[in-house]
Amino acid sequence: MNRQIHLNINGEEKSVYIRNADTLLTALREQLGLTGAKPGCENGDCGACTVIIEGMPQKSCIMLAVEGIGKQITTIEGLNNTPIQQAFLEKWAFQCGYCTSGFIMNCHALMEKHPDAEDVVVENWLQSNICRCTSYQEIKEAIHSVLSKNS
Amino acid sequence: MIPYNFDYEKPSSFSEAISIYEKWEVDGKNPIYYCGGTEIITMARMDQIQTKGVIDIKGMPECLDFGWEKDQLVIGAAIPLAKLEEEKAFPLLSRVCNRIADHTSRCKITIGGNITGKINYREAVLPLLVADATCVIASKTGMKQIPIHDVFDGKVQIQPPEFLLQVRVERKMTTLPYLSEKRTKIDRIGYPVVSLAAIHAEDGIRIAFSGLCTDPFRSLSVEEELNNRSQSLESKVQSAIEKISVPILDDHHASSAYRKFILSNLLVDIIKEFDEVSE
Ligand SMILES: Cc1cc2nc3c(=O)[nH]c(=O)nc-3n(C[C@H](O)[C@H](O)[C@H](O)COP(=O)(O)OP(=O)(O)OC[C@H]3O[C@@H](n4cnc5c(N)ncnc54)[C@H](O)[C@@H]3O)c2cc1C
Ligand code: FES
Ligand code: FES
Repeated sequence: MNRQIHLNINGEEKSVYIRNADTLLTALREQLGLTGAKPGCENGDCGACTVIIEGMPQKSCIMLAVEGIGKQITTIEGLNNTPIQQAFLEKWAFQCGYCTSGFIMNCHALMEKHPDAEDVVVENWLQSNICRCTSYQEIKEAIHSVLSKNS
Repeated sequence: MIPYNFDYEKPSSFSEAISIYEKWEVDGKNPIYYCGGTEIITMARMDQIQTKGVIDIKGMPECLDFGWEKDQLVIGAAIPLAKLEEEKAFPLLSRVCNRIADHTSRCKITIGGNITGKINYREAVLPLLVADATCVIASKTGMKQIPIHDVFDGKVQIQPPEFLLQVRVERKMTTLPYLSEKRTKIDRIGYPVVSLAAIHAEDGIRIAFSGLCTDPFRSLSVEEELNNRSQSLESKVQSAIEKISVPILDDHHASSAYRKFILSNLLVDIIKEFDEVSE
């Protein structure tokens, strides 16, 4: 049985019809047409589905949509011209682009929480995402270019 | 996608949670307590668990408690590992949490779920075993405080509708010298081939292991050998390994001979490091 719930996504109240068993990833993509969060492993391993909930990165494949009630949810569609998005473009930090929105969401949450993050913190957070095209070097350069502007 | 649907409730008190559990059990819903939910979602997706009733325990204040109450550190079952890693109230626990899964997953995986989960590693329990933590259990008659050694025997021995509400650690345990090490098959992130957590208490080294045998454990006879001052370093370590009474795992992560090899090197390093601290 589907039920109606309300989710706050990218600053807007959205009404969604879901099953209790639907993940947030399914609700975002199939109910709201927000396809920026990607299904990769759907097992919590790859990070392609990362969104930001209450300021922290979360893998939307291992979260139920009902858990999002009353929380501030941000998806890649809610970011507009942020420094990390610009840096990804400038540094060519992607190839096929499948992992990119997940990486950007994680980087964005990191920059907001730790604007002057040390290398060890950056590595700790970014190990949550996998890039099959191995753009790691360029992604690292993109993050460091934003961090150095911050400092 | 999870191939079946379920009812979902997020009660605001533990007594309400227990009532829902009992009702749903009578209704044949095979209810399940839901904390971080990462294991439940991944197993349900593969049809490895079946339930028609999910009780989310993140809505009750006791499960979200985190902080000092007199000389006890109170950790609610729903506290995510990433918070424990960052706050460093119990540095050994922070360090162990830092090596469980990856940072984003740790924002969702909870300490309660890690300890009570079906995935055998349950690494967050290691610091609690060496620190003689106390478990707070929600029961029909109220909250019960039970020493972790009476609740945890490789797995948490709590019979629903009871569930784990909190763990508590004495302040003096959080300030002792500590070490933890984790070795995986390949990467920094992964299930452990050997994971261990140790403290140097007044009575000597206390140590607990995960990944080595089917379930995590702390063994007093292993510790006795490691603290035996009459033996050389190598023979202490050898005798300690001989005291492990359950079979050392032999699986696709590592052979048992390789696990023993890693373990023996780690134990030598740990004794040496603690010796340096106490000199
Ligand atoms: C990507 C990834 C990597 C991982 N890597 C590691 C690792 O390196 N080391 C490691 O040790 N583990 C690892 N795990 C396993 C993880 O720690 C466990 O699966 C853990 O159970 C997840 O916690 P949760 O809060 O999401 O649990 P949930 O999915 O909410 O619950 C798991 C089980 O515990 C029960 N339960 C939960 N809370 C309670 C409670 N308070 N009282 C009674 N029963 C309860 C539930 O009913 C369920 O059966 C990993 C998991 C993922 C997703
Ligand atoms: S799709 Fe969510 S972590 Fe891979
Ligand atoms: S750019 Fe292709 S997976 Fe990362």
